[in-house]
Amino acid sequence: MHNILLLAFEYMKIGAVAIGGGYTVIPFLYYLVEKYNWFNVSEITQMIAVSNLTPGPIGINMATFVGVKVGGALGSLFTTIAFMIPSVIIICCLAKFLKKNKENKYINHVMYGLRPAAVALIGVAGLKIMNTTFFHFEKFKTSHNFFDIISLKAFILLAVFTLIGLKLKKNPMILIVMAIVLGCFIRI
Amino acid sequence: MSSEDKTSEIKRISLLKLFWIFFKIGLVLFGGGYAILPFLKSEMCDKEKICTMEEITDYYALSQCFPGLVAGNVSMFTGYKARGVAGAIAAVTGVCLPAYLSIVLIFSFLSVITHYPIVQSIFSVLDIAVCVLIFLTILELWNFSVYDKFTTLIFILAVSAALLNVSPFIIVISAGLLGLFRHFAFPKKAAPCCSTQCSENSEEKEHEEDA
Repeated sequence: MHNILLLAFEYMKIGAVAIGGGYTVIPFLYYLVEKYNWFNVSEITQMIAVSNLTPGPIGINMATFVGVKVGGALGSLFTTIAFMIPSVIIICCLAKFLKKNKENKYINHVMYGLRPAAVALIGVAGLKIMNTTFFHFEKFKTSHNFFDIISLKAFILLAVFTLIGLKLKKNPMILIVMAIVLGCFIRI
Repeated sequence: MSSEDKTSEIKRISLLKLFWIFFKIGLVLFGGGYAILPFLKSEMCDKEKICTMEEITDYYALSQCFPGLVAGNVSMFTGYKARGVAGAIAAVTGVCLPAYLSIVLIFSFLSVITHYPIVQSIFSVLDIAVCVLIFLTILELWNFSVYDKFTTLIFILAVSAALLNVSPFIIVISAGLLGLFRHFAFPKKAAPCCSTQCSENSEEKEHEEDA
């Protein structure tokens, strides 16, 4: 129970600062891994993949996933609700405020500074995932073969997925399904 | 005054109906919040006539600038337009419930199947796809996030801080403070935007920088 409340509190903090949609939550998941050891890094990418396959906003999918992982059914309920509370309060106040006056320069300036930081955080989260899938330092240590460090297959797949992704903008579903089909045949 | 006139014109919609509409949207919303716009348009503009497409686009731009999920925030704005705070809560519960239920259902059998080698292989390919998705998200956010010298500076600072394992909370909060600091340091510069014109303005500024 103590864990659940702690997680809910952490997730409420995340909900208050995660700007720009579900992917902004990812860097905070790494932060949770480092701080609490509730789950591990490979489970984060698993969460992202599963969240892309299931209906609904990705952030909610991930919050529920983390919640179930740490505290079962009760944990998921607490985490999801805690995650939404800050944005519910903020958006309701904002909607009320916007009814009266259209724009506020202070808010604009804070957001102006926040957005590049959010992009940077997402980018570093992506780099961390790349680090585990594209570079195999463990394998190099045992085989001493220099070519084992970089996974060539992974880079080819990266190029293919990027090309497809750029073509099918805003439909990540297809990309995920393709990755699952390919995963049945290719071993990285 | 005109806004009050408009609200009185809006057709009253029951909270349950509002919840049900958003529950249906949440059920078909795959791969994140960015796909919500066409559904909102058909349900809230065309069928229920609660708000116009322009309003939804405004809500969408604002949602990306404020904490929380884009899909959740857009739903709350639209729900608020229809029925105030209660409407916002009904809408966001509706849109989030399918996501919650599906993960709770999937989780129980996911933990059983992850031990099979083929499942592990699938997940390693999925990792790469996830990298690409993150990369594409950055491309999408880039235009209205990093577009002048100051935002580039914040971007570089934030990347280095994140690589040095600084807590993301500290990064986000100090970036916000830096944005505010810029306002007091250079008060004469035009306020950066946070509305639908965002992407247009940023493109203009990009061109200026290039020239």
